[in-house]
This record gives sequence, structure tokens and C-alpha cells, in this order.
Amino acid sequence: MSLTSFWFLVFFAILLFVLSLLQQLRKKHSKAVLLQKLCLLISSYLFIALNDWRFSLCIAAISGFTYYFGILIENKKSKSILVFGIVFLSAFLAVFKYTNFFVNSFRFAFGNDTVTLKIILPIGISFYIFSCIAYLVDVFKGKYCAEKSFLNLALFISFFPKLTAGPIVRANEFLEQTKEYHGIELKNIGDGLQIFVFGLFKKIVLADHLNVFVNDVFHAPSAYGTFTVMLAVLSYSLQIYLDFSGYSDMAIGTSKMLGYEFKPNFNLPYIAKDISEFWKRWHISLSSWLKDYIYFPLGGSRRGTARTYFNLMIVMIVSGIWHGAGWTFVLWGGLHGVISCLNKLVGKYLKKAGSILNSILTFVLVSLLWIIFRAESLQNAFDVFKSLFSFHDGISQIYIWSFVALTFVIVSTIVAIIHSSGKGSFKTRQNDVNGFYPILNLNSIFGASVFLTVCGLTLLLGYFGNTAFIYGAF
Amino acid sequence: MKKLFFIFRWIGASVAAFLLLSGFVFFYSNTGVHINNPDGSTDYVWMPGQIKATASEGYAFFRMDRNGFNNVSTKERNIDILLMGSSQMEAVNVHPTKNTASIINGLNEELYCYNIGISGHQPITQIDAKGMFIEKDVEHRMAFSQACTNLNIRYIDMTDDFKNYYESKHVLAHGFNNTAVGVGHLNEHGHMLIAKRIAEEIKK
Repeated sequence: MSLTSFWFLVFFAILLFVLSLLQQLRKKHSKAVLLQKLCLLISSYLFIALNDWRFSLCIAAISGFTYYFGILIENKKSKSILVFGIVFLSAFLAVFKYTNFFVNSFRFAFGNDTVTLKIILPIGISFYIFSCIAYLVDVFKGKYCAEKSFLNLALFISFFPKLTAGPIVRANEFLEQTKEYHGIELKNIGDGLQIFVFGLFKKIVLADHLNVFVNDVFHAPSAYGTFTVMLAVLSYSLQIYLDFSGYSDMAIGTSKMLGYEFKPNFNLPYIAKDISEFWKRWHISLSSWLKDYIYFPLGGSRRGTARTYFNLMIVMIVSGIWHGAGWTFVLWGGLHGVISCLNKLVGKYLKKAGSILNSILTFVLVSLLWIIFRAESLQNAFDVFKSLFSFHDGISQIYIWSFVALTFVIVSTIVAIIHSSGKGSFKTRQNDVNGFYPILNLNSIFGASVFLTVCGLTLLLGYFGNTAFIYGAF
Repeated sequence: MKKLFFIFRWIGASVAAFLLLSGFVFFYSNTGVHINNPDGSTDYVWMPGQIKATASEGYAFFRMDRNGFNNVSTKERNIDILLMGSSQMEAVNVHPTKNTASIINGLNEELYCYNIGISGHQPITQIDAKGMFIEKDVEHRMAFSQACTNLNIRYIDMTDDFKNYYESKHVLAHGFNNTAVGVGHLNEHGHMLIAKRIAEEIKK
């Protein structure tokens, strides 16, 4: 069940109704809060089981393991228990997600044909396994105590809005809100609904229309003229941003309606002036996870230049592999690592070129690397690059939705720059631009009219073909 | 009282949003009204003189003629060529001056072509992963061709015209710049190719 489906809306409306009944009960019975949490847990497992009942068994097993090992690590303070926990969780992820990749890589190396083993890929596995690893490490480091309530921890791991495609919420951030759960409030429902619709618009109106064009061009790159391939590459950069940030917005909006506050997962990534800043603005919860649980433990930038570059390469390759089981993702991550190293090496000289030029250069680099990310194979990526730089004739498709999406992103960015709290010149503001959710006052006729119009436009313009969330596959 | 104001506010907001959205739909996708036509040559016609708008597949904004079909001419003339067909001939996705009937009329002023195309289904073409032009539904076309032969109707196969046009100019006869490439209804190039071919056949 996708967050964009009709049945999700029905499911969510029923959940909100039940929670609101329990909210009324809270005034009389203090135990009602427990029922609300239980209701959230059951609905999360129902959400998972509606995709495939076996997925709920997987997440239940991981929840039990993490709960037990969290307490064990806290009691024993043993690094070997932590290491065992991390290895087990990583192996669990590897078996479900990477078995086919490893098997076929070996078979290919020895000249055998590829095979596809029928192994299920549990929904959101990459996201909840990373959350569990972070939890065990943080408990070991004493950042917070191991959670004693299995209900709270199981809810943290399986909470359905963030399950499919993140954000990778930290345990303390979630558990603190769970322990002092305020339930649902009308103001939060209004604000959350607006964030949800904002994300839905980005996903089904913009990203899904772009998907049509991008699919066509990546399917047969040699058939298209160079300008059209360029437009398709630009369109994919916009598509993946609008798709993933749209999902994150919907997850954040849904969570807010249920009484949880999560930080934004994207912060205008395409205005980044270098690759390092890009990763601070793109999929922030994953980037900060990689930084805190891989880059820093490896020594970060404190062990000399060569070791810093090595650490950066490791982090980026892990990021690539996390995104998908394929050599295109390994290459994509590796190239991001190389560019990150180059940025450390010559970035200070490039800064003299001016921030706008640097933003354009970073965007072009990131967009070129998205080709490898999007391609179905290395050969397909090569074909797209060939069509991009060979300047040959072919079908010319000036896809109108690419310009609609581009206008949306540019206007949003300009609004964010104007809205940014930093005072002073345009240049000063550009250095500290933060995205924000355009929340309207639904108690005013104007706010409610605009909101209803946006809802209507989303339904009228939405693409209702079969297009799953890109990051849902990871 | 507070609740009553809340309800009125939302009713007002709903009316405002409805009006705004209606204005948008009028220009974006104004399908119009069907009138059943069980005894006519087509299953239905559109409401005569109604405005139609399409921006979800191609772009067109026009008025149906007095009979509820898509024709530019308003003069009463004897019909020499009756253009029948599916939604491809109905041509609500291109500007009325660029549909097959209008182009035939432009190419041959002595004869008057009238279009009674109304939506239906049709085989389409597509390009494969290597960019080669392929037909999606050859069996359908062959069956149609055979049926025409059996009924002694002259059948003009446009496949080669579309294919040659694509191979020489990289332009497809179907699809628009707001849809998947080469998929869907005839675009202005498709209409132009069909019109030229019909005009040539008439001259012969």
C-alpha cells in the first residue's frame, strides 16, 4: 500500500478516527495513551502486512532482536556484543537485499549466466536496519538508555509513515516523543495535512509526469537528439528530487497528523555550492547517519589527508550500495567519493568563481552522476552518455512537464531565499538558505480556499499510472 | 456560534475553490457533452457549437460545428469526401486547422472534406530500445486490411508513410510534447501525412 493510493487514505482516515476517539478517552482514563500507542503499532503492522504478511514477520524479528540486544549492550557494556549486533543486522539486510547481486557478480566473474533467486525484499528494510544499528551504537556510547518498553521500541522501528522511504529517524528523537505522546491535535492535523498535500503534489503531479519522459529516453537513448537527452537528464534530476522529497514531505505530514515531529529530509539540495554541501542538503537523515556511524568512527578527517580521502570513498561507496544492489550504484557512490575528494583538494580555488557558478557546476556534476544511478545497467548508462555528448540527430521532444517542474523548483528556491531568516544582502542570504513548508492558516477563508484549490489541482493534474516511489525500492 | 462560523468559512472556501478549479478545467480539459446518436452514422455527436479544450494530451481549444463534429468551415457545402474514423480523426488534440480534414481542404479546394470522426480504438506504432520504428499491433492491421478487401473497400496503409517520415526526419506521427513519446493520438504530423496521402489518392 503506497502513501499515494486511495486505500491508504481510507486506512489513514480510519486510524485518525480511532485515535481521536481514544483522545477523548484520555481525559477520563490515563491508560488511554497506551491504547493510542498500541493502535499506532497495530496499524503499522497492518500497513506492512497489507504489502506482504511476511514483511511483518521480518520487522517483528528485528524489533525483538534490537530490543533484547539494546538492553544487553547497556547492561554488559561489551563491544563484542555491539559488534555481533551490527554484524547480525547487516547480514540480515545483506541476505534479503544483496544475495542476488553477490551471486550474479560471482557467476559473471566466472563466465556463467545470471540467475534470479526468489528472495523477498521486505518493505523499508534499508531504512529500519540503519535505524536499529544507530540505536545499538548510541546505547553502547551512552547517548541514551536502552528502551525498556518493547511497545515503544517496536513502534519506533515499524512506524509506518517513515517505513517505506524514511526519513531515518534517530531513536532518541522518536522515543522521547513516544514517551510523552500528546496524541492528535486539530492544529497538527491541519498543518500535517498541508505538508502531506504539498508532498503529494510534488510526487503525483510533477515527479510522475517527469517519469513518463525519463523512461522513454532512458529506454532508447540512441533514438533521441542530444538536446532531448539533455532535457531527460535534467528531468531525472528534478524527478528524483521531487519524488523523494515529496515522499519525505508526505511521511513528515502524516507523522505530524499522528502527533510526531520529524525534521525535514531535504533542504534545497540543488543550490549546493559543492558536493559536500549537496550531501548536507540531500537525504539529510541518511547523510548524517553515514557521517555519524561510518565516517567519524573511521576517523573522519582527523587522521591525515590520505585517510580522510579513504574514509570519504568508503562512506560514498556504502551510500551507493545502500541505495541499490547493482554495479551502477557502486560506481555512482564511488564517483561521488572521487568528487568529494577532489572537492577537498581543489574546492578552495573553485570558491573564487562565485557561489552561483559553483551551484551550477555542482548541479551539472550531480545530474551527470544521476545518469549512472538511473540507468538499468552500465551499458545503458554508457548509451545515455554517448547520446548526450555525440550531438547526433534524433527525436526531438520538448517535454512540457520538464519546464513546469523546473519552474516549480526555481520559484520555490527564490521564495526560500527571500524567506530565509538571514538578514543582509542577497549573497549573504544565499549562503544560509533553508527550505520551509508553506503552511496556510486554514481558519481564514483565503487559506482554506487556496488549500482546497491545491488539493483539487493535485487531483486534476495528478498522474495516476503505476509509478512507485523511487526510494521505496531501496 | 464559533462552530457555525467555522462551517460557513469552509463552505465559502469550498465555493471559491470550486470556481477557481472550474475555470482551470474549462481551459485544461473541457471534454464537453455527448449526445447519443443511435440512428446516425456515428454512435454519438458532441453538443453542437460547444467549446472543447485539451491540454492533457496535445493542445487545442476550439468550438464544435453545428452538427457536433470537429470542422472549421461554417459554410453549408455539399460534402465530397466524408472523413470517418476514431478519435484519431476526431482530432481533439491538435489545432482545428491542422487536422486531416482541414489539410485536405487546403490541398484541394475543389472538393469539400467533412470530418465526422468520433472516439474509438486503433492500432498504434512505437519505437524499440534501439530507436527502430515498430508496429505494435500488426495482426489488428492485417485483419482490418483483409476486411476492407473482402468488402471491396480501398485500403490505404499508412505504416510505411509514418515509418519513412520517422526515419528521415526523426518525427513520429503519434504523441505530443506533454505525453509519452510516440504514444496516443495522431499529432499534427500524423494528420498532415494522412491528409497528403488521401489528397494524392483522390487526384489519382
